[in-house]
Amino acid sequence: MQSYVSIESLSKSFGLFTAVDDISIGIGKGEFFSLLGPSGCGKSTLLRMIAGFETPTSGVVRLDGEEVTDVPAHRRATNMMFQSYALFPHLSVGKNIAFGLQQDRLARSEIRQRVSEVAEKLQLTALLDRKPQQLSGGQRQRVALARALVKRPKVLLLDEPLGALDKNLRAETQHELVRLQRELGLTFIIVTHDQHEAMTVSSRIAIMRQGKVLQIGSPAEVYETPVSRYVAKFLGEANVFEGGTARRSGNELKIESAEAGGSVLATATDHISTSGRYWVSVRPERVELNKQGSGLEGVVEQFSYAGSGRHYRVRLKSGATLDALRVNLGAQDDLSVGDTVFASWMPQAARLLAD
Amino acid sequence: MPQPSLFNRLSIFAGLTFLYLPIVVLVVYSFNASRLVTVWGGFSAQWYTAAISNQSMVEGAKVSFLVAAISATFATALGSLAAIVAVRIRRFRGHHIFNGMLVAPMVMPEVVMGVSMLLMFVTLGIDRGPVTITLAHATFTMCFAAVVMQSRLAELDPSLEEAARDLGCPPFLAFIKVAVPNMAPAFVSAWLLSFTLSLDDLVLSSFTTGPGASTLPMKVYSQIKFGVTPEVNAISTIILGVVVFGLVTSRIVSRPSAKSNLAV
Amino acid sequence: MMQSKPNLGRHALVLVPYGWLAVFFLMPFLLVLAISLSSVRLGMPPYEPLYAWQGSLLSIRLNLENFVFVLGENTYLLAYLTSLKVAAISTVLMLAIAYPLAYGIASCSPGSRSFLIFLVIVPFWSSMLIRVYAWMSILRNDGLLNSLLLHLGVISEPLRIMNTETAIYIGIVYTYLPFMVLPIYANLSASDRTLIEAARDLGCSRMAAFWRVTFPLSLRGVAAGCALVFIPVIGEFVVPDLLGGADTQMIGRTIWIEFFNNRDWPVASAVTVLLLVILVIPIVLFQTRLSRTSTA
Repeated sequence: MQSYVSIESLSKSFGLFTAVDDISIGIGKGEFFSLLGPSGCGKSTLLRMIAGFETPTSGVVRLDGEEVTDVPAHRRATNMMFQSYALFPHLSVGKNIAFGLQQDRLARSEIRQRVSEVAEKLQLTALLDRKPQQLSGGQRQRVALARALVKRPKVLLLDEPLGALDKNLRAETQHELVRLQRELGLTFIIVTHDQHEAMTVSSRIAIMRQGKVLQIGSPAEVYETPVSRYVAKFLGEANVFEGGTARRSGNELKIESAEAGGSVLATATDHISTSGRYWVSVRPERVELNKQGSGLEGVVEQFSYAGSGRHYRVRLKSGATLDALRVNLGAQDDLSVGDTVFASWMPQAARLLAD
Repeated sequence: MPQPSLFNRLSIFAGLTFLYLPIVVLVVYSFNASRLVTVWGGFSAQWYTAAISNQSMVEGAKVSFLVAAISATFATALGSLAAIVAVRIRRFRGHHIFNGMLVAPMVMPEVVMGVSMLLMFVTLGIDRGPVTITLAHATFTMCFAAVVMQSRLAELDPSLEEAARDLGCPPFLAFIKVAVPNMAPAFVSAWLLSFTLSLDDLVLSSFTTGPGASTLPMKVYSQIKFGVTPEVNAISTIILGVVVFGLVTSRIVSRPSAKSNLAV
Repeated sequence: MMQSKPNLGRHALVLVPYGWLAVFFLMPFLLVLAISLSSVRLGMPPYEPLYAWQGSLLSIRLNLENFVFVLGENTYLLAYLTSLKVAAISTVLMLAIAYPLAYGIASCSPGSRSFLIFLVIVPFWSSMLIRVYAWMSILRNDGLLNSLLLHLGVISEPLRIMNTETAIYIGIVYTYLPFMVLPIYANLSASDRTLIEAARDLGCSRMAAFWRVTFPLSLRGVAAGCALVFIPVIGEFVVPDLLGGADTQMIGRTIWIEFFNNRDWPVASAVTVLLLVILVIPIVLFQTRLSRTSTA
């Protein structure tokens, strides 16, 4: 893929602290790209370097083939939606949206037309004369989005754009963002600490930790094939057991795991050697619990009802815990706390991790 | 929100009574028909007539207002610059001395400042009069103006200016277009604070004035030295009225936060 | 947030307020120091120049006599000590009045809070001279207070308050009170209310919660208030001049008299320099504390 935004060996240090540590990412045109990680992982600093608010200690930022590393923020074809929205309190909604266009000295008529266009798209037409203080959280968020979008940036940068919204509004806004991004065909880069949000909106996700990128991939890729235990546990839930000796039959591996207290199944991969230390990871929804049969034996210790599914925590004989999720298909629940169960999964359900 | 307890209510009541009772007494006795300050001789506005026809007082008031208006304008401009320097630039060669000079006049006894300014004007051979009073007042009140501006500038969301830069403004223009309009209420409070401080001042004016130029407080002071008269009460009431009117108006216009009125 | 401003503009920006303060605030103090080392003469300016050119020979005469004189005179020493005593006692008195007031206001609902603090600010903005004057008519021998007490039969002889140290305390506490209330209030109102609830939840009585949580957290405000009051009161002129008597001589008034009545500028400058020496420590403490608060 031709990189539209290209980040090459970018680093940023504040004194002794390295916020961004030699990161390289290529982002394609029209992508909805997420920078995901816990707070303090450097994702905001990275975004601010793309916007031009921070000068990198080393490395290069390219935008549409042009190097912009030292171009100040006001001359970059990127626009940002701020976490606090940063709406100008002394200006009306309409003037907030027009601010950037006026700065570009566009003709009055064009400004008016573009503002009303974007206002219509974001259902702000009725609010144009209000002041930001008179708006609800959701409305402010849309104004901030409109103000950035109206400049038709090459890249729209969103810094935790939905952090201030409550849960229901957030889910709705996520879909709205995706719809807008498709419609406009723009490149979006979003910073978030919410893995669910990242999975919902993005075409690709970069998972960051301590200034480094651990994995980049589509939501399905990073969820299904995490590269490390950290990624597996950060994105959704995962049961992880250290693996021991493995016996191969065809494409299947039968792995002895002392931690799990028995043998578990997985598929053989070329990437992971079973001779050194390695781990087996399996998602809770892939775990089957049966009252009889084979698999890891354990006792149901906790049960919680989550509407769309039932969540069980099983104490295995080895002492380790295992989480299992049964999707709610309307069937009667036949397990209760204290029951002895056997946990198993299909070989394809498990992943081998070297780290 | 818990209700204030009885003790709290009593503290507020006692404190405010202490602050206001003497002022109320002063105002009430300005309407006293009797020349004796402590004997109530019936209602009369005669002392007001006397006060506003007192040519010397009116002259003093003119000087005071002029000095206060000009020095407050200088003080607001200088104080704002100083606040920008202190909040935004922060570290530069000699910033410790700068911050010290910005704080010291707020606590420095007025007599000390008065003496030093007088000596400077004399040494430099500058004729003393309204101009020197204005310079002295601007210096002393700019520090108060700076405090007001500083607290407003510090609570301004830095991402506002970043947003303006992001939308195409160079940094300086972003400051002018976004930070300055949002500091407008602080400009008003800073100017009003400087204005009243200047209007009030007796000591600094006495040291820095020359022959002929007397401010209103200087005239009131020399009257008070001779004793308490109902006419002084009337003049005081007029001054208080002007200040209270200005304060109430500015509160309605700008709703300054309690912090930015005297943020320490 | 550091901005990348062009260097030249930045220098100019710093230079204007810096230059102004250097010329009109710092330089005058240096002059005071210089003139305190001069000697008095008749004429204008009423002091001898420090240096003279005799041909190509520069002669500088530093006269330490003024300091020797000031330090040797009991009147001056007494005035310094009285000023310090008055400042210390009135600071304590103000704290006793201001803290409950600020605390009471901070415990009100946000709406009434801002109104009440406005009421505290109004006297602070209105003329100090007038507020001192207001007390003159109350405290005089034939003033309102005495008339009232005589009328009620509480006393048979008028109390002599005017022109005593008591009157000075009343006047100073009255005029400086808002300076003490505002920083304490700002501190208390910004403090997190849930901290007190947490303390109560952990078993503190109302009193214990106050002394163990609220009060220690408000000490910053208390310190700021005390500094704002203590330092200028040392050099206070108006209150001791109008309400005090001849037996309570404070240093601010001494300087005034030395200047305007005795016209001995070198001695007045020496008195001022010594006052500054006394003030330097609290001012520096105040300033470092203030800059620490603003960077925090």
